[in-house]
Amino acid sequence: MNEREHWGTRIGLILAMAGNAIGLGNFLRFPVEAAKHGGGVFMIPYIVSLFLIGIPLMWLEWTIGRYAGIRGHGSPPAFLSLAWKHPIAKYLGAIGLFTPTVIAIYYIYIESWTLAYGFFSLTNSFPAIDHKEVQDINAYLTPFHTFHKSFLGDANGALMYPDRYAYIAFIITLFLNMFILSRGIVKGIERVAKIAMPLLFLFAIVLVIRVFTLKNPANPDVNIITGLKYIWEPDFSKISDPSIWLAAAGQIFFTLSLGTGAIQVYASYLREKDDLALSGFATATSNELAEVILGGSIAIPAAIIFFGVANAQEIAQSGAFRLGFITLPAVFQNLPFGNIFGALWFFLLFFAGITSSLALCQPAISFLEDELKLSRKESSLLLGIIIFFSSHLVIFFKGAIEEMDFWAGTFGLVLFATIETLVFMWIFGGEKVWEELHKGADIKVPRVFFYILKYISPLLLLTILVTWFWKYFSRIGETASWNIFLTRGFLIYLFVFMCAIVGIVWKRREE
Amino acid sequence: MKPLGWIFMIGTWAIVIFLFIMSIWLISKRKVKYEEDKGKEEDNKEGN
Repeated sequence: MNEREHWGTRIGLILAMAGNAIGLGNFLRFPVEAAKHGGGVFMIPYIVSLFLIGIPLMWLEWTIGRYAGIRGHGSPPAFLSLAWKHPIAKYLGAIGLFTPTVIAIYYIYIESWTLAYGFFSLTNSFPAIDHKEVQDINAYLTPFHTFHKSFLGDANGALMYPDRYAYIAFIITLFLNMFILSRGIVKGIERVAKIAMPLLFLFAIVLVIRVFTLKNPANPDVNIITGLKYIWEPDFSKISDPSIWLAAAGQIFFTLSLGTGAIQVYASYLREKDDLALSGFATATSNELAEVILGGSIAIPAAIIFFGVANAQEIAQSGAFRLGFITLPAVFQNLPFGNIFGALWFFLLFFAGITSSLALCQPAISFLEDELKLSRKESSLLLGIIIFFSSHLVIFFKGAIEEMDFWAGTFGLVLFATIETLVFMWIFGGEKVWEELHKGADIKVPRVFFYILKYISPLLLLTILVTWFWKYFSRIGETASWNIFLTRGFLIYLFVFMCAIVGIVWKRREE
Repeated sequence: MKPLGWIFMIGTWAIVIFLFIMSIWLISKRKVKYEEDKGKEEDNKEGN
């Protein structure tokens, strides 16, 4: 059995795990979801989901990772085949290899926008506007929308022709990711987490203070209270709407990066007697602090203070990208030292992004190292080449990001989490998982979580899966343009290719 | 903002801050044990 690397320090491990969880979604997706789904009342299903899905699954994934890691394996196909001695287990595990790799393919590109926009802010490259009473938000944001479209090369037709800065930022971001990964766990991922995470929290706190002291230049009565009111004032008419509960469960799922395979892979670098229970809990609470308090206090309140509730509602409805890359630059352009605050915003997103993309790449790196016996540098180089070529699909073909995000970033995550929960809690054995979780544990997890993990979490995951299946699968039959079919073809090819490699590796091992 | 809005906001923030501080406090209490275990493991490696 090969000697696997271990985390250097506990704080490094927790920061890296928190870095995996704290991503762009904490600062862009959460406030939009909360605002869209009843404000304060959204927090009821959100907190319930945190305790019924989030924290229990976090513990399960840490346990799976350490269990496999001390047996010399750190890749999702190995996790499942260690727990279930059935030939299909390794192929089900391949979903946990496919999903994070596909997400990394488009996530690194989006992450590169934040890097480029950070430099655009520093160099005052955004369109210049004078603040005035905003009547038509779409007209007001047109220069920023045009700027963003031109950056991405979004023209009519199926193809995109990105700005040279977009391409350069992508190359730099990809190179940075692969360079850090090639340095290994302690010298690469852990060292970056120890620098990026404190900076991320510092930048977020500075931005929260700035937003809390903002006033609308044309109407000083519109201030942070107006913004917080929009996010937090409960609309009780929505509490009985099942879609709110589903949205909250989905948000908890995404924000903790469950089902990506990344938590298990990071946990596979733990020692046999390292604590799982307290470290997993600390990771979840760090993420919640970043999301609920910091994430909920920057983007939406700032947009409301500057553009008013009605306009901000429209912005929130039109998605997280419009909020982060079009609306916020317009807000910062109106502030004294706005270029500095803009840069803090985008570098905050960049740190959140890179600590997550490193984690998303790690399942594939671990597979190449543990199962194909490549060196860390060879694995990083090979994955870098695969991501470089595959990313051209999302850079040049319109709609590819959304298509990949649906299949991998939405459906794939829930599917893999459901499979791993059922395999570990029902086939491998819930009691064995519970015993494994408590080996070296610094806290005793209340027994109620055993029953939650065994009965309630799988049931909720299956409900989410079936509902999404019902709601979204009609889109398969919808008329789509050739670039969407090309993306789907690529995804099928990649999954089949990964299954084939997994099959060959396992066959050789059996021989 | 209506009082209920404040209650929701401050209540949620209080839960999140309490959970975060509790986990950090527990970790700081257990930190010594973790460092000791790590030291022992390194000693064993050198011994081997």
